Amino acid sequence: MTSSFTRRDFLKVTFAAGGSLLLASCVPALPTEILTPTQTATATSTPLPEVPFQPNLFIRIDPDGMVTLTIHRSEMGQGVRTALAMLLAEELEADWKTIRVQQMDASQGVNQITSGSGSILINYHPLRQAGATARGILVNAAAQFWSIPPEECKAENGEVVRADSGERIGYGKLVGIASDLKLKSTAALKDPREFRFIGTSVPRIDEPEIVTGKAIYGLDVRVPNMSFAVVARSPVVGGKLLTYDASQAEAVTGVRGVVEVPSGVAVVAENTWAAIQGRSALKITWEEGSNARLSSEFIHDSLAAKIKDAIAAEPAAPLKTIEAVYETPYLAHAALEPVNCVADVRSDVCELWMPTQNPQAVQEFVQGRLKLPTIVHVTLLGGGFGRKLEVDYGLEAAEVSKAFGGPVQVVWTREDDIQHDFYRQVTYHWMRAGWESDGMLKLWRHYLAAQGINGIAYQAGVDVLNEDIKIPYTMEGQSTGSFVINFPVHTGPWRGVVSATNAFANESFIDEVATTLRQDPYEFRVSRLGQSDALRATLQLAAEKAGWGTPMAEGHGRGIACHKTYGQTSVAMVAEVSVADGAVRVEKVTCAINCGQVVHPDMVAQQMEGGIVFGLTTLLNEITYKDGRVQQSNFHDYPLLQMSEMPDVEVHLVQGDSSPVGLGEMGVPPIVPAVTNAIFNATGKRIRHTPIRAGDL
Amino acid sequence: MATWNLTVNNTPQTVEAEPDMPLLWVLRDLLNLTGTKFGCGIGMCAACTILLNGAAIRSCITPISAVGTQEITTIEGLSENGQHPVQQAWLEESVSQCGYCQPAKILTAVALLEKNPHPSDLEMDEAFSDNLCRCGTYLRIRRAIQRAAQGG
Repeated sequence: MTSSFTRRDFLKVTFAAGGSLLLASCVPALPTEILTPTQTATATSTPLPEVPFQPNLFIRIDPDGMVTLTIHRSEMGQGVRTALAMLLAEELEADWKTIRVQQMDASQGVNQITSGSGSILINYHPLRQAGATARGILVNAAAQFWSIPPEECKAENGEVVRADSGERIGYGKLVGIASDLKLKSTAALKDPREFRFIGTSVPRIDEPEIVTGKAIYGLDVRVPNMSFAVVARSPVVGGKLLTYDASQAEAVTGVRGVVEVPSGVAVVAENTWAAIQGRSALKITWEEGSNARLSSEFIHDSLAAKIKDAIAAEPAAPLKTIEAVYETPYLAHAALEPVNCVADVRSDVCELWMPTQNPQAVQEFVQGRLKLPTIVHVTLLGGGFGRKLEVDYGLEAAEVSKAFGGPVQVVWTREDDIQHDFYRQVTYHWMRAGWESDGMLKLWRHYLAAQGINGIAYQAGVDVLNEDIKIPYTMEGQSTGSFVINFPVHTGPWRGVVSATNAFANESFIDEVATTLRQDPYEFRVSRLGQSDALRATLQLAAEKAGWGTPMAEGHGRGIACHKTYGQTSVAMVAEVSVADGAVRVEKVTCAINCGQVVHPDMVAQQMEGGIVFGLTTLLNEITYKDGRVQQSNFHDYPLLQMSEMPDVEVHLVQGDSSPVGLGEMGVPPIVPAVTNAIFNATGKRIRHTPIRAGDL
Repeated sequence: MATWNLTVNNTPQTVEAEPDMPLLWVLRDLLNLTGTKFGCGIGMCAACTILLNGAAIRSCITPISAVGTQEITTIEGLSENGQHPVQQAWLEESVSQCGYCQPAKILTAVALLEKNPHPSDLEMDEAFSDNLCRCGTYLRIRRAIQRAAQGG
């Protein structure tokens, strides 16, 4: 393989021995600036980022015409494999039927972290640029082959067409010609008005494998001579293993061994069931330590005390004021696929197969712990939601394989997954608003006491608590502040992170202000959003489509909320609820979204539907502590939203004027306040905490 | 350990297993049929759904000793290449997000439509009770079932 082409250290073009064309493109580690359409129209006006060459987006065009894109992001239901392939196919002018994807292993020096709803935002320009470059090379190859100027050739559906005669050559054949020629490419990006793929709902590239059961998630990985293991872990965070008796576990049919690892005691067996039976037969004594006194009451009281201290310095204002406290609990991610990992630690290498959003961090941490070169293969994820950004289950599986001496799949049961999660942080929001006698708002306070994020790969404090804490409304006297308390509970990013809990407090309390002032909650918001604020148009569209202001049946109510998650994506929702016999039913959600250039309209709808379900589920469940132990363990006491509880959902798109912004988390923040505001509208009862508890209504 | 003669996807299979081993682990770990998924182990999420003589059951709480001569159908055996009308309806409606629970949802739908060719929303809700999807694909599942009921 020889390198024959470099374009400003940005794209590297190589021809493999078999005649394939390879492109390695560098994606900047940080999000690229969100560009306006005038900037996206041509590449010539888009400066290429000056960054070191790091081959990471691998594109291969084979002599048979097949195009393979190596996906460097994790597929967990957001459709990233399909969407990234669309970006490439668009600029390459590929035949969609020739597009294949394969998953990239962990590869340092490239941003593979699937988080922050950023995969399309970050890759939109670099991947299109790569596709355009490849197209340029193929057009030039055809032009040289025909001895005509490239301007007289056009790329079209996997072929280059000669303008004068209509003669065509397929990309596969051109790859062979291109490798023998000295070529350059002008790589002009297409005008968005000429998009064939971007903006259309092409079928998901991996769905045929899903519906036939052939899709391979982490738990489906099988390697030769693999054993299955489950691990007994301390029921209290930080608890230490004192003694254990494995004799009865070892007597269970199918158990191959019991090994001690840093996180506890692993039972390794011929199959998962034998491992689970073996673990039940273990006798373990834990030194639980002082964390065994932790309770949800203590956590609540500590947060409240922190806020009480903070607001003691708040001056009295000569205003009419209202105050309220909003609270959210710890929450488990509860992806349907529990975390799991296959590890094979050999003398010279550690090889892992796992559903991870963060393969690079797994690689770094495992290499650091085991002092062995580590390969991380990324499988499909049966849901991620932030849980699979953490590295604990990869580290643990590597330890189990090393201690046992062979390839092992460490299976987490549902109980393990719920009780040893890195939870959404607990939050306590103190709100105050004040206005003069004419109703003019002059004061807004939001003080947040919460746990930060204290995981292994992820730690964050006040910065993450301040995420989207400011309200978007034009208002004098806005002041916010955050205070971190680190309880002995593992926390981590959870779909929407603090943006979701801050939106609950802000969008509920603004509703309290509006209703206290006897103003329409929709008009109150719209009148305080700038004309050019994308939130304004989404709010208007959601209200219009939902029939805001039209009469409703007895016992029904409507609520509205909007939010611009991470300052990117404007989403507004109107929820209609009915309340009867102390129970609420969400009947319908009308959603409007501005996510910039829409890559795949149906995936936008899917992510809004998914975000709505994720948010509605927070009205149903919570993680609580007693005696240092998580009190919930499975879906009987940590319920998820069911089909019978699913509202109708309508998603309306506001045409955005920027390149694409994120979607994956953006449906979560507005839905909860939209529903609780609707409950207030229906009943006059204000819900200021999640979940909704018996007696709240 | 006992020997069990099963019929899985129209194929005879012989396995050695403890009588209390749930069918889920027999299929996944002994027969390498990983399309049947583990979700909760207590029959509360239905990710492990398979068909037993055509009826949707939860393999995570069904011991192998309870199977007898009943015919087991997993997602791998539903059709040759995903051509079953319910699978096709799933593709038409773009139901899947992460997709982990969808084989179970498809088999639940197949069993429902077998008994009730034109289920109402309420009847679907009942058939899909404790049948969880964390990604929130419920509306599309309903639409796919309606599409399959109308013959695609």
